[in-house]
Amino acid sequence: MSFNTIRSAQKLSLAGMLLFFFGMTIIATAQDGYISARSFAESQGIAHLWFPVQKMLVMRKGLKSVKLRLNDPIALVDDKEVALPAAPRMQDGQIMVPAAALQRLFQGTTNVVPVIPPNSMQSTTPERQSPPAIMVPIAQTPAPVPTPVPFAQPMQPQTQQEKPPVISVEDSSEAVLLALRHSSREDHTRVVLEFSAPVTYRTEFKDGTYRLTIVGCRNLIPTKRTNPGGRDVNRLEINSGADRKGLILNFVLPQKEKAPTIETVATPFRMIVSIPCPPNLLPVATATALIATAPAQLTAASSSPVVTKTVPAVPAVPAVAAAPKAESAPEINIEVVSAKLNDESFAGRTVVIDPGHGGSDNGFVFSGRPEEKQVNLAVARHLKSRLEEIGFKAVMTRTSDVDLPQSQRVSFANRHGGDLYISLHTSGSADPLKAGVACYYFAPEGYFVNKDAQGAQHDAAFSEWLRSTRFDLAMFVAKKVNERLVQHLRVDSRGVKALPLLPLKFIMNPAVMVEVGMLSDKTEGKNLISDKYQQAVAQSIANAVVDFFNGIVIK
Amino acid sequence: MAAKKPSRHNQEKILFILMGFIILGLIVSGYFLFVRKILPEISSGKETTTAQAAPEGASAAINDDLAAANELIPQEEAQDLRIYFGVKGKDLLTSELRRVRKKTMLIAQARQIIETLLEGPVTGTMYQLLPREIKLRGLYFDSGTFIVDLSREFADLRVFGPTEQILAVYSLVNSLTELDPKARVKFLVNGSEPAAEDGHVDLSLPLTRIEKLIQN
Repeated sequence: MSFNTIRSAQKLSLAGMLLFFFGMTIIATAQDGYISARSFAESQGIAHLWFPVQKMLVMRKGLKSVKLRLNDPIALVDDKEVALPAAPRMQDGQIMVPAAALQRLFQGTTNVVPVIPPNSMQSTTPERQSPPAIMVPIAQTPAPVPTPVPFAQPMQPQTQQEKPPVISVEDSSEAVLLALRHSSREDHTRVVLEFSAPVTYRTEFKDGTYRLTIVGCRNLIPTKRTNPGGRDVNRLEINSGADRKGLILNFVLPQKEKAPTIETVATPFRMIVSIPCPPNLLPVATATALIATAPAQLTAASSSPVVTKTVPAVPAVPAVAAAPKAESAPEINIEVVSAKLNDESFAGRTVVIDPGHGGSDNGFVFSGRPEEKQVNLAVARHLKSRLEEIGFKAVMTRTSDVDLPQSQRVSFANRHGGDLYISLHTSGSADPLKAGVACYYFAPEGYFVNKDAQGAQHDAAFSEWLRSTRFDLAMFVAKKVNERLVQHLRVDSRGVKALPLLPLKFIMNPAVMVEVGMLSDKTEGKNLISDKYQQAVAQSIANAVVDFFNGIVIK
Repeated sequence: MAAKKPSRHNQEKILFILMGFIILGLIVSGYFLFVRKILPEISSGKETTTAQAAPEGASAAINDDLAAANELIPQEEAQDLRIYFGVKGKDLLTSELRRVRKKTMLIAQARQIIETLLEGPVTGTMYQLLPREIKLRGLYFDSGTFIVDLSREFADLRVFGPTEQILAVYSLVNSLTELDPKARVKFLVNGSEPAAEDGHVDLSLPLTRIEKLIQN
């Protein structure tokens, strides 16, 4: 992962006032209110030094010094012990610390309060705030102000005598916008704002502009943010609020009729803005209809009798009017016999499935055929159900057509642990002769890595990851998948290769990327849009997973 | 009787004539130096276009073109570049030798390589991996790293499959590192550093040569 540091100041003229709008890098995990200590320090002009042996980060601003240790919730502020709500930790090669706590440490507004047991703090947390359905002026009915929420990270148990002071997060006036992301849905666009602490807000919808004024947060905008501009939103403007406090978000919409709605979720405080699709652009039919128009019939033969089951396929969409030149899927009857686990103790193991691309990233597009992202998702859904039938636990990085950056895929995979990671892709080429399946695992060859790098640098984390990851197991899985696909589908094999592929980078489990075919090929491309072929592909990969576990010998 | 000493006026006249000849000589030699040597180095001209050894299967027309093109560049001014293209039907790279006008500056040679790569192969058994629409916006060499600034079309390579993108990117990396096998290649897209969030290759890092992608 690369550190992004932005120190930019942008002057904006609004009603005769100069509002400053400056960003800083906040690389934070959206789930637990963590922030990259280094990025924060650089953006705020705080001197910082990382001591890798001691695993200590020393930050200095003026006369104030803060010492943070990895996985230790006690910070030394001017040589006095202060308990943080959660311990700093290393994630993707970066030191992550609780966002609001770090901010308070350097603002000198630390409220020293007695340690509160984690349970009692959690009990005050509102589970879910009821959203204001429509625009409500703040003067009449203020937006819900949730009870301040501490960090989800559990605190270290300590005795009463040794309790150091705790950083209070009760003052919500300094919440930080940790993440701003969006996803495109079929009938609306969803924009998610995630804060380190509760905030208040008000909304206003006038002449197609939806203004969301957020009070009780700093005017810091994460540089890792997405631009929701597209079908439902013309553009999003983010400005600083009055007196350089708070944020004002202006969603300029293509329609003036339907106002967006807001939903709020606590722990961490999250605002979900749902922006409806303009009525004239509501999707009548999507290319998903090409993948599956009805529940699929699959003949899943086990070792003994042949059982015919009805498998829920990709949700059917009524008409196919949107794609006039669409090719029809050929009739394919491939029966793939399900493999059986030799050792039932492997049942329940987790397999992470990653359907490649999604959202605005269509992947490979061949005229008249579904986009790669749709084929990947359809195969992934089949694979999930096949694996679950065998007895594995399967989780998918995305279950719908949404944008998913690589960092989130990696984060998802590593958070869920699991024993295998399978990234599904189809392919296309300018060379019409290319067809067949290919399987890949990661190889560092082709990247320049500074082996002397230390600490939180990318190269240090990368070297550490290379040392600790079992690429031999990944190669074993890749071989098994390739064998099964060739055996069951009777397609050409383009080989098992070790390549420096980004989708496999930083995945801690044995990870493979499967190219299930070439959408650009005359025959294979047509086959790939057939639901039965997709099921056969999924069953072949599921069998390879069984082969993998059958090949493991536990000594 | 002593010889008549030339007058001061005549001496000055001769000196002026001599200086005139010297200046004229300098101008003429400067012109030829500029036109023959310096101008070809700084221009990114299209005076390249030749493949030297046409492998089996190349058509007769191509051979004729090659022979004709070879004649255009005198032997002493020619230089062979090894450019990597895709092998049809295989997920591998193969090289094509292209005869171009000799350049001495490293950056001029690198520019020649990229421009030749974007022109596409001459050999029938190869195919072009990088779309022709890609424009070279800038090229720098700093501390052993080629920094290649390409137009936005380069980022669209991610729509192809993993192999195709790997082959496309490393066709450029391997071609450039023919100049210095230890060099690294860093990409910029429209002047900005690409993010490591999509695509199949992490373009935010400097890349090095991969030998195993090359067909034996």
